[in-house]
Amino acid sequence: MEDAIVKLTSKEGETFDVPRKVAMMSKLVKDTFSDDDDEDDEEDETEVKEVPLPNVTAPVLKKVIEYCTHYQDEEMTPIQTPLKSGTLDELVQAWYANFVKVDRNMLFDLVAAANFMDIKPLLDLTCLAVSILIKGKSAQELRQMFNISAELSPEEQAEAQRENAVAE
Amino acid sequence: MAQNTMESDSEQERRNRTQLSAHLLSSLLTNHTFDEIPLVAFQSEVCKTLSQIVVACTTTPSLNGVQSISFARLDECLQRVDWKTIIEQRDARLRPHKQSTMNLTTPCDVLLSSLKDTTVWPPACNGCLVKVLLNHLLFHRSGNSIIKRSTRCGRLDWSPSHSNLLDFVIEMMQVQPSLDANQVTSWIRSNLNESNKTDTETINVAISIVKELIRSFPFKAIVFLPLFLDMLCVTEALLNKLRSALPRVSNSEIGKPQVKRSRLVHGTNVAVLHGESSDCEEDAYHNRLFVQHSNAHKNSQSLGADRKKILQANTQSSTRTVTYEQIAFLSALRTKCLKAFLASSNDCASTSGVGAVNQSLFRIIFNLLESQPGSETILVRFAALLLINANPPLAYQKLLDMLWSRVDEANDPCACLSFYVELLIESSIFDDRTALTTAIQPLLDLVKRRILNREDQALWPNAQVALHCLACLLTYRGTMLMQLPEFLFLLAQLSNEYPSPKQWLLVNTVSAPEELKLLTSLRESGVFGIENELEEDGILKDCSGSWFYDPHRSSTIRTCSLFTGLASSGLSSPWSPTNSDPKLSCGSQVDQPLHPDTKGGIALHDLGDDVLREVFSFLGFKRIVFNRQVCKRWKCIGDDEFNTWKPLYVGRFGVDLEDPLLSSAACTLSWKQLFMERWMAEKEIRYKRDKNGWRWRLCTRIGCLTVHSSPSRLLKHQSTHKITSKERKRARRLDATPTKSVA
Repeated sequence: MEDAIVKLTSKEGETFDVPRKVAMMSKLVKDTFSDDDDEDDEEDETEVKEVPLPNVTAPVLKKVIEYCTHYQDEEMTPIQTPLKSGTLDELVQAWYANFVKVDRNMLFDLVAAANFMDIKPLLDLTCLAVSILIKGKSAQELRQMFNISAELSPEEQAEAQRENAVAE
Repeated sequence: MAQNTMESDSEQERRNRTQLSAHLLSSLLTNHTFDEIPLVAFQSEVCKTLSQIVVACTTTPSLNGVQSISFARLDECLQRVDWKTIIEQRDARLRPHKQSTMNLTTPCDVLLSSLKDTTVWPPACNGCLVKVLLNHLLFHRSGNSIIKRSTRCGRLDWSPSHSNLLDFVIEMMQVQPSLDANQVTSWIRSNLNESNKTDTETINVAISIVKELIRSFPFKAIVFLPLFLDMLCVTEALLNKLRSALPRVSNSEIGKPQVKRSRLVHGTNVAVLHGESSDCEEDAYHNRLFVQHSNAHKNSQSLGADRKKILQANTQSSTRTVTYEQIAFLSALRTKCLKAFLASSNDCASTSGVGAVNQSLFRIIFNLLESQPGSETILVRFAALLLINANPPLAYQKLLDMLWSRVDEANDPCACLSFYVELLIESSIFDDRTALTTAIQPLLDLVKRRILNREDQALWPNAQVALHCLACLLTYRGTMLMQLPEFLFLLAQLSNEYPSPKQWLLVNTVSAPEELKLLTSLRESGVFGIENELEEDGILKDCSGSWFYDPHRSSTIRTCSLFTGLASSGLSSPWSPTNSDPKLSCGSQVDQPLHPDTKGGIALHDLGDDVLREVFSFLGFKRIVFNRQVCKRWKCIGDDEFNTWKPLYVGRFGVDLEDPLLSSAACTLSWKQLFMERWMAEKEIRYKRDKNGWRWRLCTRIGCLTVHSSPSRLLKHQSTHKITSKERKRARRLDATPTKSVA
């Protein structure tokens, strides 16, 4: 069972062969297995399992697998809050800090994939990276970055600004 | 007795012998004088006779020496046995011996035990025997003495003889591994298929047999499940037959009594199955597939009364007219079955692994869907029910794929499409943005190809179905879909091509209130904006503006207008507002035109609040306060007391976990206010030190902001909390103004 292979299929249909142990970092994959295992233990013990991941594109999936593989060798230290530092390199090991130094779209895709595949440490790491992106940006910059509109009434806007002034 | 005729081998004689043996057996078992025969003698007599029957009439020697069994002949023999009389006699014999029931051997028991005797009954014949017995179980219910109340499908209502028969079958299966579940299922099936007198009672008996089998062999439940579902489907078919006999309720004239009726007729769906019953006030939902409409009297509690009524009605009126109550009752019956079954599947799950049964149920349902094109409706409902109750991982995708593959193949693509959309709307799985986005993609692609690009138009002669589906989606899932650029884009293009409301609705498929709802959402989202158009059509004549700004409706649809959506998604709009009605864009204030990230990709906002919260959990409180200016959603998270501010407070100031405030009023505390007050108080004293350099501190208790200028004072003060904490619990509540005093 140790060297079993799991096939992860991306949105495009590209298949990645991943060692079972690595794939099991995803709770989604794990859940799929724990269900299957009890049920067909007589028939397809040897069969290679395939898990479709229709929400994850191939480049992102590749990155996720890279993360999970590295995690087996060097576990990521859990991130302590409140943060002791504002830079990634001081919060996590160097490999992980470099891992999330990607363009913004890739980062968001990684967040989505980690969320979908339910990989807690990866979600933590990517969310941390996003939170660092947020720091020091103006409201307008943030809206652009996240592609959102304000949707706040002038009163709400004023109230939010007032509270912000208090906190400064 | 009959042995002397055993020697001859001719076919004719064998046949005679058959009849003779059967006659013998029958007369032996029904012999009124058997009381006088010693039981041992009786048993041996039965054994002999039976062995004769088996050897002489049911087996024919074949060339390779294997005995083949004539089912028909054995069946014939056993049918001659007057079971009813045997049972009556047995019961009569049992009565005076109530106290020693266990030891008493009755003819029926003798028969059964002799059947178990391998020396009498060659094991090879057990199969055929079981089949015959099953047949008996299913069809030979001679009146009330066998099954007292056959409308129920609990075994409790069975007569002892039937119970015994079933016990016997189960025992046989336990003793003989060759009698596996597959074979038994196939026998039940073939029994049902061969007979043309399948009626509701038979089905009910079959259901209870299968239930018993599942109970006895939980590990083989999976084998029995298809049959079980089949049976339920048959019940559904019967229901449909009944339903089609009802007068149709037309949309235009919903009179009071008709409303009542339609409610009952619609009482058979998934919502009922999982025990929901929405109130009938929401007429708009009338024709919705998965929503149940029961009136107050037709809930499950009153089922018993209903049944009584039905049974009475049956006995009183000679002509068995179909009543609405009957339909309601039948559907409730089926519901009960499935519910009980789901419960038992949970039991199975505990022995054979969580979810295994549900997972395989899904597989079975899919197989059935593939093999039985007629019964899609009910099967899809089962699947949807499972989806809602059990939610096996990724199952919804399989179900959707399955439905989707049928849209083009099926005779009635519209039905498939509507199902697909209904599932998207009703299943809570699609409350998740990612799931919905994935699932809706093929639909959007198809609509684009078929309607906008006009490919394969022969398959879809009119666009109305698709438009109607989109309208439904917009109405019920609008909040999420409006953030999906493709959806917006498509809707905008369609709204240019199909400007009339008539083109967007399938008339006569939805009830009037539902129609109104769809129209409202279409209009509020700006798909068509001119009111007079609707009025011309006479649709809105009798409803003066009140519904339009219905205060009970969520404002989400309005804020998600097509205009806003397109603006914020940053797509260059192919659509220009047909009028400059300020209402169109009043729902939201886009303060400045945005310069969107043209690279695309997943917007973080497509993910749930949980992810956003996760991001926020790494931010300091100042940033969180600042972020409240960015947009509504961020503001909400920035205002979330429990999920945002409590962790902030705990992380920064720490709390005493034994603090009674935490347990008593944990949910009502305003963590944000607490945080800000403490933060400001700390800010004030941040440079203050006593003469030894000890930093001034606040009392650490939640809500107590007393300042202490020396360690001893702090200790003294905190000891007061310990003594009086219980009495002061209430007084120390947050809403009491925190006292600020320098001790």
